Amino acid sequence: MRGDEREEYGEEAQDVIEGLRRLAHRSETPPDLRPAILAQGERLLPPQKKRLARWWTVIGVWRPHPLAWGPVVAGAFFIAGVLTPWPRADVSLRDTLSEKSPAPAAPLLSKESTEDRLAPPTMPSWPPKQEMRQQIESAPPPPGIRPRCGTASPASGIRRISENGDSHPAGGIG
Amino acid sequence: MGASDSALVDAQVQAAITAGKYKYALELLTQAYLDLVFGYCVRVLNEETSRAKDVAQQVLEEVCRGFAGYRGESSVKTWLLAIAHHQCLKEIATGARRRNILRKHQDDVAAYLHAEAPILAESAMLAQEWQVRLAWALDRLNAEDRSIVIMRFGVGVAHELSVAEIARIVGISRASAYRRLQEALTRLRRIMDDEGR
Repeated sequence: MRGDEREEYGEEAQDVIEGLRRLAHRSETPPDLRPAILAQGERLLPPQKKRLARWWTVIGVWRPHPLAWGPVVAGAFFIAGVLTPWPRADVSLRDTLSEKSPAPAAPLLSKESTEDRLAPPTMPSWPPKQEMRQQIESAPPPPGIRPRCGTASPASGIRRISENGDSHPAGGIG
Repeated sequence: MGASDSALVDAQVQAAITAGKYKYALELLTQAYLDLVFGYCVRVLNEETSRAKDVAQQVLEEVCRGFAGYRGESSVKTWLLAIAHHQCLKEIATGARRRNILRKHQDDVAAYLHAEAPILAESAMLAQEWQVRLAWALDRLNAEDRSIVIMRFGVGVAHELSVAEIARIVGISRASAYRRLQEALTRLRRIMDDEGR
């Protein structure tokens, strides 16, 4: 601090500053002042704080210092995150759902359909086109429906639907 | 008391206040800073020991009342000197009014002068004439400038406040505090030179 004063206050102020510093050592505190202050203080001091008020004071002291309470709050969240039982990443959703699914619904669904429904989102939700065609061709027509034209097979009608994306009845067009 | 001791005391006082142990905090404060507060008051009040004693007592009373509201935003020393600064300025203003009243009532002037005499004698007993002149010149500064100069250079090297701390106490910007300090030192020097001729 002393090194800076020569630049800050100039050469002519240096002896004044030194003189002021010497003046500082001159006074002596009267010996009866401290006991008088302590006696007076006993009467003026606020009552001892309760536990809750003490905590409130601690928070009040911390509040304006985010560097102090920031890491504490972050640490508290981290510990809470570690202790909370989150769903584990290696347990598949299927297991979780099969544990949670109600008991009466289980017999109605075949194993294959359950697997299809519970396929992970990365897999396509529909079977490949070729596979679907084969399934439809091999399946017998429903009992109530007959083809109107003898040449048109249900498979050709289905093929047209799948190619064009229209919903005409099988063999209706062309 | 060095800066590290001061920081240690500040931490202890703050912990005692936070824990609600006000009596212990007051004991620590008076032990560590009473000399500082009294010395500051003596110099700002122109070496009037009895007045300085009263003001130092008032400062510590204010501290007792303010314990519950202390948040530790500034150091304990700055907090104490801020209270002392305001109490001294109040006391100087009251003293000025008192002197005006005394001037009007001539009968009481003799008694007042009798009370002032020991202070003059005390000043005359100073070893160096230069120091006497400096103390005299210091008394010629206006009260707030005197307080600023003393907070910066007249409370002992270990307790000297920075310009930024003084600016906070007085309620002005750092640049203004620095300018006032420079002007006050220049004026002090000029008063001393004029008196010496």
